[in-house]
Amino acid sequence: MTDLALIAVIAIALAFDFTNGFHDAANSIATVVATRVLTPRLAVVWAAVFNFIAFLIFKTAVASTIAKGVVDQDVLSIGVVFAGLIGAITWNLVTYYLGLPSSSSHALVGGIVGAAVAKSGFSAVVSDGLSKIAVFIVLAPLIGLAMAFIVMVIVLQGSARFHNVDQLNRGFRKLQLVSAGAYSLGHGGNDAQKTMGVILALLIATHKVAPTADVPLWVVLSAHTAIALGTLTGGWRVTRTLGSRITKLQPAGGVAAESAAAATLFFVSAHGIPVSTTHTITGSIVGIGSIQRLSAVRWGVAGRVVWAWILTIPGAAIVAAAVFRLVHLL
Amino acid sequence: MDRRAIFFLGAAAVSALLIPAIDAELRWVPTWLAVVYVVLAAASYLDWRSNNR
Repeated sequence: MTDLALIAVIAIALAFDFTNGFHDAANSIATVVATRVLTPRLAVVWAAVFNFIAFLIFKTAVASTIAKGVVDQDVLSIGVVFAGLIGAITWNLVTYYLGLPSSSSHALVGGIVGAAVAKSGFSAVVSDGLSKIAVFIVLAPLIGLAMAFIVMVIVLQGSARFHNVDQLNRGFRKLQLVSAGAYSLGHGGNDAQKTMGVILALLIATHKVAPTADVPLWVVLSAHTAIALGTLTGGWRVTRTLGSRITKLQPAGGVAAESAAAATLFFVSAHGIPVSTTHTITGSIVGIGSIQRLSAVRWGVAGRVVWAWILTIPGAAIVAAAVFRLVHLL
Repeated sequence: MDRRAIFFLGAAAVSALLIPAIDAELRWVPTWLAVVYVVLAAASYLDWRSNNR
């Protein structure tokens, strides 16, 4: 019975990963599509391939943080993870329906925290781990914004020497394939690991692996496959919000935004910090938009994004806590 | 008034406020970010002033 429940919740975790790809991964291609370097269909395939091969580059520090650094390991059970996942998936679907670029990552963290608190109270929360994640909710987009701004200034200074603008734009269009690939690598490296962390937590809770164990290879491969398949099948609504509504992007801006966001994701993944890829690329795009003047950024859309950030963890936590209570009543 | 410089100063203040909230191991990240935003605010203000002379 326990094994059946374990398999079922692992399947839900992989489904969450799929919805993460569906909802979040399309951010990888937002700028490539906005600048018409690739068609949406080709861009999605491009992003999915780099999402998948990210496991060749990144270690599993983010997965360890999710499995061991958010809630007390003694509290984790199949029921807690199940309720956390349902809370996160519900939140993702609602925000997807509303076209809001909220964060799947923070929905997952909020869901697991909500279910754990419903089970054992606030003492179940690992405050150090949660505060690190909370601080980087704010820092990740700020890092992306500053880096994108600086990279764009350098690009503009360098470009000023070129007289053939068409040739320059063609160069940046080609470069954008590289920067989009790098960003998709960073995205796969950070986001797929969150599902790996959930599955690792389940395996530890059911004593299938030791508490000190690394993420098994089959977990790594299945998480990357799920997110890549999710990327292949969806995310177009959120892509439109980020790619074309926050600010108008040219190929050079796309390269700068993606490079800055990719560097941010590489950095946080190396330090085991789960961040929102949506937050990071949004910050970078705002950085590009503010190069000329702040009014180039459509702050109404950016403001909706900020509201989604603020509401995600508590929203997913409340849904997950309700699901946990409901499951126990039944 | 250079609104971009004010925005960058706000970002610097937020980064600085987060310094005590994070592990000592990673405290350099918000510290450096605050410094970078102050420099960007100063550069933005100088750019704005030279354009408005």
